[in-house]
Amino acid sequence: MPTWTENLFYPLFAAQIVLLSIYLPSKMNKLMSAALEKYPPAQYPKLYPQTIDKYLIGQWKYRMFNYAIAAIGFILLGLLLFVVDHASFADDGYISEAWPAFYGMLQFLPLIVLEISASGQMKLMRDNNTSTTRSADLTPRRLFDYVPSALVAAAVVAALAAALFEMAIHDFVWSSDRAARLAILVVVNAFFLVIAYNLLKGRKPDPYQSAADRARLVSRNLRSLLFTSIAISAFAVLQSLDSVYDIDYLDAVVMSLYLQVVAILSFGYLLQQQLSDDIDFEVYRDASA
Amino acid sequence: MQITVDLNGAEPPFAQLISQIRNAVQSGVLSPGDPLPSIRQLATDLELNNKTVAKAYRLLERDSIVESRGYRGTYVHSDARANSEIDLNAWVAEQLAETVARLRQAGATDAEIRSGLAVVMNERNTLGES
Repeated sequence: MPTWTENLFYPLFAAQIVLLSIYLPSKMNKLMSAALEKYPPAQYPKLYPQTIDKYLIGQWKYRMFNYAIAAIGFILLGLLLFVVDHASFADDGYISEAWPAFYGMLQFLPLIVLEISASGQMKLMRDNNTSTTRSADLTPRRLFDYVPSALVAAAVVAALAAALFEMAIHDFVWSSDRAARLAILVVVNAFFLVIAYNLLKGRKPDPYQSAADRARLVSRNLRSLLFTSIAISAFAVLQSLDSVYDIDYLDAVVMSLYLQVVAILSFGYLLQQQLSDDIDFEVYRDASA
Repeated sequence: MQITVDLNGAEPPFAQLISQIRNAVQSGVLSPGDPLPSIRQLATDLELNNKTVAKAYRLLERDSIVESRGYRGTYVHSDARANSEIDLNAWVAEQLAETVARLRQAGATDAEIRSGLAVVMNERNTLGES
């Protein structure tokens, strides 16, 4: 591996550890603590369908989970620097992209657990909702009411361009490699479409959420999906280039960078919306208090 | 515009939907050509059965307050405001009151009137089914 890419990879990998397992989770933790402090269960009982201890334990577990993953990351970084014989992992002798990729998957695990836990909380909130009145906005939820058409077009064009580029760069010769890469593009974007459809047409997860808050949430989530889709398409183009030109030495660098961009676009973007002060928390207040 | 349905209300949910949409049209909150949410969206949001919302939309369409434009969705009818002034329920009650008064004048008892109405309604239902 040329020295400059090696010199670039290790700080990037360290940044990946810090960003995904320390910085963003600490932001999330601060958000949880701030919410508990600013909107205490005594005054906002609808926000907490479980006892406060469960949230504190959950928050502690989330923090420890991320610290453990960060520790694993730093150990891995040390091993990659001083112990691992890269030639034995990759034929070309360069640092394998599998290192940042698999470690990245591990880093996203607490976020997935958090998402599952949040959907469980929403279900408990719905179960606890004894009100017999139900409200809804009498306007259709349409995609272009929430996101600019240019952004949707950009995501579609990026996905199509990535697919076309993959085919064109290989002179339109079909192979299992082409099929696999195109399948990944299709599956990921189809998954995003399902999420988008559910956001627009699905059930309101939080029974108390105001219509304005829901609209903001749908808009931000859709934007996050579109930006992530564009990032995935850009990464697919880089992979196509990588398979034709001799730039294997960049694989690990690009993978680490890609994971950090995806984390910022998804996790960071969603975190930003939770931190915003425009959420109406009064809907969770105890009406009898 | 927000629509609210009380699941334990005296009126059935479909009637609450109809009256709120009708009122929104009369007060100008909803204007001709305004799009309405799909049956599925409204039913999901209000946690109602699709059939309940479909029934409300069907009755509003019958009264020309809303109109379905196929796959494009449901919209407020161009004559919705004028049509929403017509209360079909009140008209039915008025017509029946006149008929019942005539029958009583002719000497029919309330039991006979009820029985006669049931026979007529049953015949109509039977004819409708056949």
